Amino acid sequence: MKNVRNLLPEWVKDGLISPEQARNIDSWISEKENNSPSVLVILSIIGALLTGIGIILIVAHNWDYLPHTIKLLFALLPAVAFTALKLFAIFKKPESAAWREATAILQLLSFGASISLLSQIYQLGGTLDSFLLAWITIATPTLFYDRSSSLFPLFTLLATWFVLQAGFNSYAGQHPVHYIWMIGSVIGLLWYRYRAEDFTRLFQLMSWLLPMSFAVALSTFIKNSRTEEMAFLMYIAYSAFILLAGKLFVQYRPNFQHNGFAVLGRIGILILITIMSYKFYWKMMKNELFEDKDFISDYMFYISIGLWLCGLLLYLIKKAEIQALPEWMAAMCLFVLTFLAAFMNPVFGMLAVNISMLLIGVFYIQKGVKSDNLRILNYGSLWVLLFVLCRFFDFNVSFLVRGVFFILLGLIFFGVNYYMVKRKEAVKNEK
Amino acid sequence: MKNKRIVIILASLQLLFFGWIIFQSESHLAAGRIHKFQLRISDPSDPFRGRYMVLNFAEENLKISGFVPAENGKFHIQLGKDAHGFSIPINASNVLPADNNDWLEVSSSNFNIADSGIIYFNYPWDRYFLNEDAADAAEAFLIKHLRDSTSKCWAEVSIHRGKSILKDVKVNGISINDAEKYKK
Repeated sequence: MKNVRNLLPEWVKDGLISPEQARNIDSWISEKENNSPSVLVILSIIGALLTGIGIILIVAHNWDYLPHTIKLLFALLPAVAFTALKLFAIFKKPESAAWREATAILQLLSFGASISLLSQIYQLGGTLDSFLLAWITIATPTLFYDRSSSLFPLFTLLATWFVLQAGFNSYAGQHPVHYIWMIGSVIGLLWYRYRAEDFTRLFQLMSWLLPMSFAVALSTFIKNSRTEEMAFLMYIAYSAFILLAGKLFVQYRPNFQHNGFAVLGRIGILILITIMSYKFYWKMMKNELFEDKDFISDYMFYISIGLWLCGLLLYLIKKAEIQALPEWMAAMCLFVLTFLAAFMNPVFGMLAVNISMLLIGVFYIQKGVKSDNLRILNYGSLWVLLFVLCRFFDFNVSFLVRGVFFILLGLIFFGVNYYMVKRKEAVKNEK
Repeated sequence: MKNKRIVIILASLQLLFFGWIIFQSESHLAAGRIHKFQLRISDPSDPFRGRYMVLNFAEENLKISGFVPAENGKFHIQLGKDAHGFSIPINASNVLPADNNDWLEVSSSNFNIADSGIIYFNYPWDRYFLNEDAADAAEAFLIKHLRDSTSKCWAEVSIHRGKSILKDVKVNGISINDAEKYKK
């Protein structure tokens, strides 16, 4: 890039490009260079992590021989020192990304170290989730006053760790509500800070981390539930919702094509619908979920309904912008159909899923062929392939039925193929 | 810089939080009442796990009728003294009374209290951190005395406003941290 930049004046002199073009190329290069994190930043982040851990270890080594007051001073030292360093970076080195990221990570780690040192001095013990809660609470202001981007993934990981600890180690009836403000401030600040800018690497990373973190947070509802089968329906609703959200992002930022929301949503729906295509799913729902009407009092039931309503609303408002999403539609129909499982033969539900799988596959194959896009084509083929594999090895269906079904299916594909070839020839002849 | 003041205020708030932990703990220790809880031997081969020792207490249940703990499993117990001066639970309540240096917040470990009339609970301190190098001597010292029925082993806890700070673990009045000096 630098070489090109040096050559620009020469090119202008020789009449290869106009001065205007030279300026454009120059600004394009500087934009590219600013977008890519330099090696310096990455090295400084790793260095900060290692130094932070090293300091914790050294202090820990001679800990027990120190008198009470000295212990207190040492416990405060990391937090005070690294907050001072953070402020120095904010006021004196505002332009340096390396300073910004390194001091932010060091400050975050030093807070954790100080809290655990204090709780050791006072033998506070306590549970891991209360430690994490204190740590995240005290570190959150940094998120507000500092522009460091590495804090966002770190906070997301910490909040996810907290929700796991608090969700699975606490008493019945307690849900880790603190997770909501933790992840809320991450999302809010991320959006506030970057909405005006082009979508960056940070956004790409967060688009994967956030949906995974939500999925973990939702799992805490399973623990205290009496109708665990409801979790399956909750995750269908969730996958469908993040797929829709991901598609909406693409509308606003075309370069955000393969964001984690859309991809994870697709993968989630693919896996869940494949499981639904087995008879045991419909039997299980009929026999266990709807046996007693307990699911009505389950949080997961209301979360699922809420997610679908939000999704539906989004879809209706942005219908023109979101292109056809057959797997989303299918997931919604099958979700509703599951609630009718109590009143119908499991075979009917199973058939509905299988037909949807095939239709989704064919839709994407046809779309891929039309737009000459191999990725879409492969995605469609994946649906059909999964369908074929599952049905071929589905030992609940008799050989005869499977045989006839596969022959029919093959004939349909042959027929469609023949029809398409004919049409292509007709188009050719017209020309 | 317009935001300079906000940044400094937020950063100071973060640091004040640590001061607040220290202030709270120190004022607790100054105002709290010392209680001794008798230790019990449960897993005699290994009360030590790494850098901390696991504490098992003799009295972690209370026979009481008509008491139902709050939904989150947390409630307060009143502490009285047994013949040896050790603190034992004598009453339970969901609200913390005004005179509260003998009341301690605990969490229930068993929900089926209605049948037996006995509430089981856990004291909030289940581990005591101590010096890694002294751990071996402390372990031997403690096990020897836990097995000896004439010895008394207890945890010393400062209690104030329902909260507690574990101060020390003692064997016949000797801190477990000094166990090395009394090896034989």
